Amino acid sequence: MAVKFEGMRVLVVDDYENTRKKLVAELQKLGITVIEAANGLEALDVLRREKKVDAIFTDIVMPEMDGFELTEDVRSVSDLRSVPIVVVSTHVDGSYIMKALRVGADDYISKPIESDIVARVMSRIMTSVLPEGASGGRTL
Amino acid sequence: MSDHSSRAESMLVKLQNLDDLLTLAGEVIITSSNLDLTYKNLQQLHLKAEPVPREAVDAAKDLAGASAIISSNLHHLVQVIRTVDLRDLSFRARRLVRDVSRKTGKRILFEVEGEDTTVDKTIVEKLYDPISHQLRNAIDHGVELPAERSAAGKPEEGRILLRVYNSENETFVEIEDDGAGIDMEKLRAKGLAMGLVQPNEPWTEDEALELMCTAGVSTAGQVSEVSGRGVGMDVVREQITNIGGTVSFKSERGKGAVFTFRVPLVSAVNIMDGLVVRSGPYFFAFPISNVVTTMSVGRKQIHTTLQKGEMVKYLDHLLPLHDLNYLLEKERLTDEGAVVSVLVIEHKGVSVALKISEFYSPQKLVIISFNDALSVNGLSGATILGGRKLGFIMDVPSLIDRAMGRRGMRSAKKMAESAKAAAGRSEKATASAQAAVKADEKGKSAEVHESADVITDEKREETATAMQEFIVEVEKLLPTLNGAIFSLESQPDNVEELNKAFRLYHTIKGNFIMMGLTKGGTTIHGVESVLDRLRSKKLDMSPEVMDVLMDGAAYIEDVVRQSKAGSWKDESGETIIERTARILPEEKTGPRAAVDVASGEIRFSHEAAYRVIQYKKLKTPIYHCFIEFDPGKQPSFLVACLIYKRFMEVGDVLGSLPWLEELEKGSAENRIRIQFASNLDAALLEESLKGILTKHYGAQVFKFSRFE
Repeated sequence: MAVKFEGMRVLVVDDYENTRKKLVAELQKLGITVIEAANGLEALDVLRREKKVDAIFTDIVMPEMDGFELTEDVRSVSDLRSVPIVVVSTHVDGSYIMKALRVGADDYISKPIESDIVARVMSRIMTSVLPEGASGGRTL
Repeated sequence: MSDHSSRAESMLVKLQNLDDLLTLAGEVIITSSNLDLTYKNLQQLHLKAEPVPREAVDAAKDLAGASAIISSNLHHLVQVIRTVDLRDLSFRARRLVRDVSRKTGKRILFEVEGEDTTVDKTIVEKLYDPISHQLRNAIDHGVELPAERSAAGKPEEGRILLRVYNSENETFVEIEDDGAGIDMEKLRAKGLAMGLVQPNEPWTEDEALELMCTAGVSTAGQVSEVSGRGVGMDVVREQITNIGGTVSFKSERGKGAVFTFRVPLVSAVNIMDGLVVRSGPYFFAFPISNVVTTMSVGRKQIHTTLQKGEMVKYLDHLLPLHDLNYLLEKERLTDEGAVVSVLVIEHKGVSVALKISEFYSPQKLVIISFNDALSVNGLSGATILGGRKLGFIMDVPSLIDRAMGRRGMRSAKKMAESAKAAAGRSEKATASAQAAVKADEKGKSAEVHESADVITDEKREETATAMQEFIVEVEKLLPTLNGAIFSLESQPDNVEELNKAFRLYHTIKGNFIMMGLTKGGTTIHGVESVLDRLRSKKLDMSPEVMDVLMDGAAYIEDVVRQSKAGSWKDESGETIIERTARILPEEKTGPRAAVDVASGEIRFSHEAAYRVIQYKKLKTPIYHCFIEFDPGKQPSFLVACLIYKRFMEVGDVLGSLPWLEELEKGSAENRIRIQFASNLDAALLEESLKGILTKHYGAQVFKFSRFE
């Protein structure tokens, strides 16, 4: 069930260059192509332009458009409904992360970013619970 | 000068200034190569014994002119680079006035004039303390209480003005208040009573200041919490004198007072009180604070012991006596008569006696600091003495270290010798092959050890660099943060400034956490949460809220200052946390009642209970799953929440322990029990859930059962 990340394209959204670069470097180590954006609005622009984005890593607190709005907007576009979104925030921001998960994010990474976490979260979001072919979902 | 530490300080420099510096460096290179050319021409003429033509003299003159311009430009530019504006200082002053006026119950309109005056960085740093002292005095003793003011026909709100401006070569700092002024008569009476003022002499403001700086003289009626009784004036004057400045004041009874600090514009001024001595051909200055005494000792009073060398008696102690020149690796002093001049110096309880040639009187000296390239162990700088002689300023701590080391050397040498002898003996005894193998292994382990040391060194350097970056980053953000907070003070509803302050606190918090300063990060998080509430209109601006916002910035400034000094440990800002908790009471996360996750009863919402009945009718299986996981680096309640989400992918989650709301409040340990309905094959469900939870979420215990 090993997930291969090579060739994947991931969008990283953060207004703070230091953390963005760190995350970009970690993703690149996994052979992932990274596209960068400095806030939610820029990210939406990128998504409109890019044909294929396999996952989005986004900061929460950003100028122009924050991570919550970005997540909500992405989830409202049918093509993007299933793109995994990972929020990046600090440990102490538990309530923000929770809010982001509620509006549709799939996972989170705590700052400061540790390299093994990035790979772990990548494989987490890229693996669905059920093996291919089996479909689950809500009953009733 | 023990505070001349070796830690490199840094400051932000405008790129334009560096470009200008580069241009000047270019001119220096050109001038220097022209100079070389001119010199060679002149040398040729000299060798051929030809007369020097007019052109050659002119060329030399031009060069002299050019280099004079360059050096003056260079000097000016370096001074400019060293200057900073007073915005930071003004933010801190504003916070202080706000704080003190609230403590004293006085109403103050505080104004700052000349924030963009630029002053040498080291002077700015040394100006804050005296300014803050004087502001405290002005509020506490100057400005009257609102009731007194209106009784005196003044507006209730007192006014304090901090004005800073540069004149030709001095910076003026004026602190003006419109309070009661200084009661000169009362002050004089006190001076008379204490015998400090002569009855028939005219009474000037300078004398009044002198009196104010004398301990025990104060016109303040009672001791107050804010500034004590007359605290500060002597301290203020000392601090200003230390940077080469002067203090003066003007006061008019009933109308107010203005205190003026005049400090030199250029900071090469680093002034100390020093005792100058001659030791052979050299002149040295000792900081007066390190000098214990000076003595003239008869040669016979010097004891010579075999073990410790020369000793001299001072009070009841025998102190080691050193030849100062020899200590500094110069030639020993030649005997100059029957009496020896001895200087006793002290640092941190260690005293050392030094043999020198001659004492001079103590004087104020301008220190020229050595830069790194020129640093000499035992000396901290140079100074120009009267008569244009060069003197060296002693670095007393390192000199004492040196003296103690020199003493120790004799015995250390002996120890080394005996160790060598011992090694020789053991070598003979262990001349077997086995021993050789062992030695080889030892060598290897030593190698490994060494490389481990290199890594820690690298790590240390990395941390130091990270720290430096942290300081630079946070310092860059601080002025904008302070600006936003002060705008909020006058326009609390300015959404843009609210967002700005929120984001800045957030970014700074990120920096703290990145540096591993989690307590600091958590403290700032509190302030950030307050701003978040303000943004979402769940909280209204109040003086208490403003306090927290300002305290936050002050806390960050403190951290930066202390980090620069290398003395910061990750500590929470207790007052901030306390104040934040008062504003956000429901955020308080105390210990909660423990939930028995393993066997406790899962409560259903009405809606979920209805769904349970439906599933039972439809014969849809309902499952129970208990998971215990290793939270690792991620907070458990969030991992639990992710696990919860995973179950939603395969079925309908009916309830859980802890329930979702509890998870969202951030209270959950590393276990969760989930009840869900699913039409999928039970074996497939168990296998895939167990697989993914163990692999990706650190599940250590996984119990899956059908619920009837």
